[in-house]
Amino acid sequence: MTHWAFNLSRRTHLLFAPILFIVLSGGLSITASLLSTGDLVRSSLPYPHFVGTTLLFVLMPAYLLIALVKLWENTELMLTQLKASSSNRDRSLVREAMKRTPFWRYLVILIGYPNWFSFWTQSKRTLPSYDY
Amino acid sequence: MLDIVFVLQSACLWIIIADFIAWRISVSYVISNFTQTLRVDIYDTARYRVVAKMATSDVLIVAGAMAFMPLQSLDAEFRIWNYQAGFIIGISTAICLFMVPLIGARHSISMLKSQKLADLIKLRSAIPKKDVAQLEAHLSHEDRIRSIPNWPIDLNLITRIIGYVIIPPIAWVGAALVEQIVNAN
Repeated sequence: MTHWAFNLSRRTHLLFAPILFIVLSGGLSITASLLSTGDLVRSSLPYPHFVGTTLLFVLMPAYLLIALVKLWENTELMLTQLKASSSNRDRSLVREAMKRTPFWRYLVILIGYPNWFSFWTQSKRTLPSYDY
Repeated sequence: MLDIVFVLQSACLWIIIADFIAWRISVSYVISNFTQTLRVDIYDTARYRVVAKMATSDVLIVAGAMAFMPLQSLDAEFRIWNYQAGFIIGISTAICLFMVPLIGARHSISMLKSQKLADLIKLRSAIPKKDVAQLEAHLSHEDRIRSIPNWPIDLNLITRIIGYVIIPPIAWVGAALVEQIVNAN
């Protein structure tokens, strides 16, 4: 299976893809916050922790997408510079690996589970003492 | 409701991060295999520093991602549980992404070095003991081969890594200073 980010970065411009992410995830976050807390926009930063985590949620995917494209370029550069010392087959194996999504990524996603669980169990502790 | 939004935000963020880490670790593993198959020139190991440079850019990206973490402390309240998952995963990922591609290159260089040294030692026995000049030249050649580092890393690269590692603490200190200034006003 071809990596989703590879398709996205191939079909969209390098700068366009992060903007798309920001608009989508930012729009979703702000809508969710307006639905849940009322007038976030009218008041002057009443929920700073929430705004902070929302910013993190918006900026991190955009950053990772730019990072992914940058790493892709660096790996290509490495392959070009080691052309004389390697075979075409070995280089194409690396290129193919970059296009694939490893099946075990779902195991890595489990890393997040303890964190999600802690949000449930520590929700009172995690959320600062604002009038949410 | 806000709790659910927090959980969903965190879940989505971790899915994206995990997907990225899984992709990069699998690529690093393939690069490690790739560097093991390289036709290494023992007299020009500097050219394999490009592998280390690429691994260093992985460290930079992880360090940059960790620099985002103070965003959770916009309310000037430091909560360790906002940082602990990022710390554990960020540091372990950086170490893994840096080491895995280099292990292959190290293996190639050290294998070739051992082979070359074994050949030289075998050749040395054929040199007449009376021919001191040739013996000396041969021994210095052996020493030169021995002194070639197994890891394709130089001091410049180590300095760069140290620079990357201190990015997150600098970002955190910067964020704390801004909060202090805002609070003072």
